Amino acid sequence: MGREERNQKRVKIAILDTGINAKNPLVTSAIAAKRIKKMKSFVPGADDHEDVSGHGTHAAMLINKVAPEAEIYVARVFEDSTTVTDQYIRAVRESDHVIGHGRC
Amino acid sequence: MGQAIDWAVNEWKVDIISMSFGFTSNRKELEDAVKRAANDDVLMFAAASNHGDNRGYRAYPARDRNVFCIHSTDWQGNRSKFNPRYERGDDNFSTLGENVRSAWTGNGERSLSGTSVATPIAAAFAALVLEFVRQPEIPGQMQIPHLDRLETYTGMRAVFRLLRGADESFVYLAPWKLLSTDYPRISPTSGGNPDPLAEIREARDYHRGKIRDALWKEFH
Repeated sequence: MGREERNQKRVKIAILDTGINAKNPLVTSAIAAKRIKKMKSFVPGADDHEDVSGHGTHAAMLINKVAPEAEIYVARVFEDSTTVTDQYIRAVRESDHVIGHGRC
Repeated sequence: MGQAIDWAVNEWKVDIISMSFGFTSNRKELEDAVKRAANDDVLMFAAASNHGDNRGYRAYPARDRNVFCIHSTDWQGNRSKFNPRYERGDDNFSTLGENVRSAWTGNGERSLSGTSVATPIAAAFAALVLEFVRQPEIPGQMQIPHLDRLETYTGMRAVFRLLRGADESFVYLAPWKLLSTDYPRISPTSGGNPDPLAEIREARDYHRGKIRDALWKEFH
């Protein structure tokens, strides 16, 4: 996309995390206000963008709070924070170890 | 993961990507996607790490040269105990990451701490900077050469560096310090026909000037 095109529109931010809890009333408002524009899962075997961890929801709504005019695009790349290690290992290689998503 | 980045860049055409996670080792698939995103002028933010156990090194993708590695501070800009070690000579960009309330599963909110909390805040801060410069033009406002470079890592980094304080070991990212309503006014309101836009232009140009100078220094 050309820079001119991008500059006419709202700033767009993608969040790659555990998805988003679309049932939370705070989230529903943001969706209705068209601040949460798209939600998509990239988790192998899980079509649904729904957040079962809370992490992704927390992050997405933080972005909404700090930058209320920005459009948010939610990519679910983890099923939940506790199974992140197992999933990624299963998906890629056994030697990998996830150190993010710690105690949060 | 790389797939998600490519989708965000090509389908959603985002300006910024926030990644609240990290891996100990690089993944080629992820590395390549990060490179493609950087080539398309997409700003990326990732958590430095969540383990304050002095592993020392940073997570990937945070340690990628095209990604903003975000550390955590408390509300007053004091570094959090759970950060990985600050790297000497590095910007060590940090923002609020302690006891931050936001939505959770169910209906409520929850308070969390971590570099994975600071990361979306830093990403949103970059959005505020982009929003500021994308405001509809006021006639006569200051032009900013190299403004397009603000959408690159190097450009946004130059603006973030404006916030470097007395402690040079890290940069505390606080939006209110960059785009504040507290600025030196130079034009007194005179009688006659005051230009109603004058005050707005002056406020805007003050901040545009800072951004202009930062980008000029970096790219000219």
